[in-house]
Amino acid sequence: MLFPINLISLHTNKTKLAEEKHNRRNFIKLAGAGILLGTAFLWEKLVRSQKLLSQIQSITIPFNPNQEFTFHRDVIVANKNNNIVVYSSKCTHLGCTIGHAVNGELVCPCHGSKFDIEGNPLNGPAVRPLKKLAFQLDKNKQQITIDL
Amino acid sequence: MSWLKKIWNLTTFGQLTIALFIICVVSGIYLAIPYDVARPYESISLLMIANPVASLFRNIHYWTAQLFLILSLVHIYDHFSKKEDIRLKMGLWARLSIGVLIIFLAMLTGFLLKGDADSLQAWRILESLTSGVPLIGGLISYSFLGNEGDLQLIYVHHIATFTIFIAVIILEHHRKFWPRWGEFVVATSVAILLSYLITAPLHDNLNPTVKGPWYFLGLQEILHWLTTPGLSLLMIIFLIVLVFLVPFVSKKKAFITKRTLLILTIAYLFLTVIGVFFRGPNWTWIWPWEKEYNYKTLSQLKVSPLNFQLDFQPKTATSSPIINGHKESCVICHDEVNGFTESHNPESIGCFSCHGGHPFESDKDLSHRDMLLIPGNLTNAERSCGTVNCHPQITERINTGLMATLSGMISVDRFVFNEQDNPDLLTDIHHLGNTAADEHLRNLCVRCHLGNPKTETGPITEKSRGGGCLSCHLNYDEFASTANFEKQWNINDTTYLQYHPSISLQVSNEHCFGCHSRSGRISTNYEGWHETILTVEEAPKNSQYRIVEETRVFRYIQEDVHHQLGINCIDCHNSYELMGDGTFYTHQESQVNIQCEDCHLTGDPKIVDHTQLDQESAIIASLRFSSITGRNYLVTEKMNRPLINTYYKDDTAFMISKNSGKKFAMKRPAEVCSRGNAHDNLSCSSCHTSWAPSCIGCHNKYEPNEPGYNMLTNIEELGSWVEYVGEYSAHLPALGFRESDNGKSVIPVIPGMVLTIDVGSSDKSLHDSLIFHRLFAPAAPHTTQTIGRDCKSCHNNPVALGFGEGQLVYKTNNGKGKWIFTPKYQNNVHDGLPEDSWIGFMQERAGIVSTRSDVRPFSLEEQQKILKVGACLSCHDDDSQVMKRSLVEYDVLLKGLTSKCILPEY
Repeated sequence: MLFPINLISLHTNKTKLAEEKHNRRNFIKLAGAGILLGTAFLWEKLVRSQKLLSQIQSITIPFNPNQEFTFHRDVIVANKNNNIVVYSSKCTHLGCTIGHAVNGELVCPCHGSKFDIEGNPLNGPAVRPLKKLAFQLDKNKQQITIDL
Repeated sequence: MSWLKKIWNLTTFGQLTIALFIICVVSGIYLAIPYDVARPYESISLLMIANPVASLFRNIHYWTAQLFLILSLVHIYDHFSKKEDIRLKMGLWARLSIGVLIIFLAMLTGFLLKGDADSLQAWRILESLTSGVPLIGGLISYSFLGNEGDLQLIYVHHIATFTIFIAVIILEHHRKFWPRWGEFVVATSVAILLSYLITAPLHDNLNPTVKGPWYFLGLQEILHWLTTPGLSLLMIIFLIVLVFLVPFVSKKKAFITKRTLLILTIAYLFLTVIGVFFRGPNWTWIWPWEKEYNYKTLSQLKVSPLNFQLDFQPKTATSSPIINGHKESCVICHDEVNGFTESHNPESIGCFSCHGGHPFESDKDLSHRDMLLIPGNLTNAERSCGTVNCHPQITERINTGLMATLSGMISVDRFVFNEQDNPDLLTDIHHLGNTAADEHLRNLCVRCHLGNPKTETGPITEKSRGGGCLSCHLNYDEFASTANFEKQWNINDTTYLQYHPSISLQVSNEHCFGCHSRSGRISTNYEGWHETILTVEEAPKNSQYRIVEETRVFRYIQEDVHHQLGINCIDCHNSYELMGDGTFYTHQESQVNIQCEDCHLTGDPKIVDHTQLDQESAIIASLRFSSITGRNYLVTEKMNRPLINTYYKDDTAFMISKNSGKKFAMKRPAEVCSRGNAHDNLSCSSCHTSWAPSCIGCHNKYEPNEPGYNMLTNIEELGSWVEYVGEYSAHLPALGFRESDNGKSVIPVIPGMVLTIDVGSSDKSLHDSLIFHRLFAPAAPHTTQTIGRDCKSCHNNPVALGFGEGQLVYKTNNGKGKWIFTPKYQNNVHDGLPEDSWIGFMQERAGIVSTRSDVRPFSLEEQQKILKVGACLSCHDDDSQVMKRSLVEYDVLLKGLTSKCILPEY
């Protein structure tokens, strides 16, 4: 009688062991996933905080009323008959810096997109107009402050 | 690859790949010593110039990386092409598949670390692509790239994150980290050889061509066509998934997958070739035979052995200025050069900006390779004066100006050769053909255009023709002139290297003189000189005569009042007139913007304040006159261009001479100019011109044995058109009408093309054909006098009326009056008119009779009207009360004539 009992108990033990192993593996997987999620959460938090700490909110650059286009790394100040608009210098195709104009048209050096002085795309691959930025003009100091 | 394996028994290319990876990592450690992540671009340029060993390590780092990338891909191909299965665990294969992307990222971060123009744009592209990933884009982008302008994070990923990942997967799948000795030796040798001969690229930050790394150009080509660039990321993921799937799908599917990968790789290679060899500035398509192909596509490829023998102390490189963010070897050797204006100081713009060459080479000859000895010629202006950071707006439009196209000259010449129906077609010197007229132009006319290159150093003189930007802006001071002169006689004298001519706004009358002392002879007229047909030997040796270009004899007549005051050409003619304004004009009067009334105001002034100046005018004004704040400027009536050397104050217009700084109050026109309404149509110059040159009896013939000169190519040749001049004279000009939609106006005219052309001498099929023309030309004589010509000089003058010189007498007999004209010159056999006339006495001519369609002589009715007043003037003085009244109430006076007054009957 012992034998079968023992067999049963052995069988039961084996099952228990397998279950324990399964549970442990599940636990490790869950813990691992948890750690990963936690790390991802912290990562996102770290980056968000750092972005806030390092991000430049606005820039102030000299304003030249006689210049049709003033190019800065981040912005382009367009002045057409004293009607001033500030654009992000990022091409709306892939973000290249637009740093010069040819025949009054803004030209992206990377893929040749062209924009008019109103920021509208004239020639692809860019299809969206240049992003307009808010600004404050101080005519006395001849400075322009642009919100990035 | 089998042929390679036959020579050298390799299991896979993995061994070589590992060797390259190790060399790359080690050379990177050495490169980290001179590399400064805070000043990346500057530190790389400095090591390239002054630290050859560091440069060697940089090249090794570059070349081993490129080869590592290529051989990694070959290694994968090699695995795929093997017949037997190589089973790897799924996890490991996944890491290896991702490893392909990581290798590219390691390379890309290396590219970004250069910090040059290419890298800065690549940074933005990567930022844009990664931040476009849904949900996690911003997180990935910032964690990968960090803040713009700060390469620290990228540096860390380059040397640690990606390098460690690659090292781990190499070790994980190969189990060994060290390559075999043979492969290591081969890899090292190839890397050193390549590194010694070919320098790793660095953008000079001036070349307008901006490209990513070569392996990225295929993607850049794809991106060019994608309006949704995010799709490219999906493509990359798709490719990695394909690589991953190969070992785990059925043989048939694996075969299809591998073939798909191979085809895509070949297609990508094709796109890469396009990106490397056929894309120029702003991603424009460029063919290898196009102008400046190498400069626009392959300028960064420099095949030249590294120079380990520096000609300068490395210390001097440290103290040399930073130009456009980099160091330049030019200013290290040429460190004491004088003569520049503030704007062109090499401390700010270096030498490379204008003269080209290779700024990162340390060897003298290599630095000077591809150099522009004379920058500023229009053939190279785009990459010298017109480079992106300098004056691109001007070089874009300069070719539209008449001084570059010569449209009027060409159009009129073709018209007189009967090759055009009218003289007003827009033409261009760049499109000359091989007709008789065009050959005539080549032999006699087209040397004076801005595109004619300056080929020798030295100042602009009366012998100069063309020279692009230099034709106006080049100035040699005393030291530079002497040094240049000494160099001509002794090639070993290098003093000239210390005295550079200046490029400045001081454009003197002498700059204009070379070209404008010919044809209309505006420059010589302005100074009061009239060309004669005397030879140098015949010319009297006194101050009334002047020799120009050693052969031409000029006689003094009377200088322009503006010249007498010290006003220069550029005081009236501004940058948009002289350098083109972007519009093509047929004739000079269309392009010329300034008019007398712009300065000699007849009404309220048209002014703008400093904030309303266009960019170019504002820059020139501030360079010439310091601060422009608070200033006002007169504006031209015709094209609304500001005159930056004028202002209006206390009801008076003022001009400041641009070169001398001398100030003038500009008078309003005299009361007599606007008295009555009889002369409303008269232009200022029709009255205030004191004299104008006149040339008649010109004959043109092609002489096959005459030593000739092709002015377009500047090559001597046998056979030439020859001009046999008749007679030059100087007197008050004739007058004519210019009629257009804007109204009509009396203007001065001179014989423009009173000539015969023996076209048969050029084209034998035309036999003895002879063309005859009697065309007058509208003139801008530039011989202004303060007091206008008197009444009789028009109303009683046969020249003014277009009849030519002679005696014009008003005779009365039996109460009847009659004008009688006896010409000075005989009648020409071709048209029966006196040689110097425009029209016959009291006659009219039909068709185009001037060098413009809108300029004509007086009609018969107009001649009669003018001579009617002339009849009055035969008795009454100009200043008499009755003549003054006639200006106001001419018709009333005519009704109250006395018996003594006999008017002409026609």
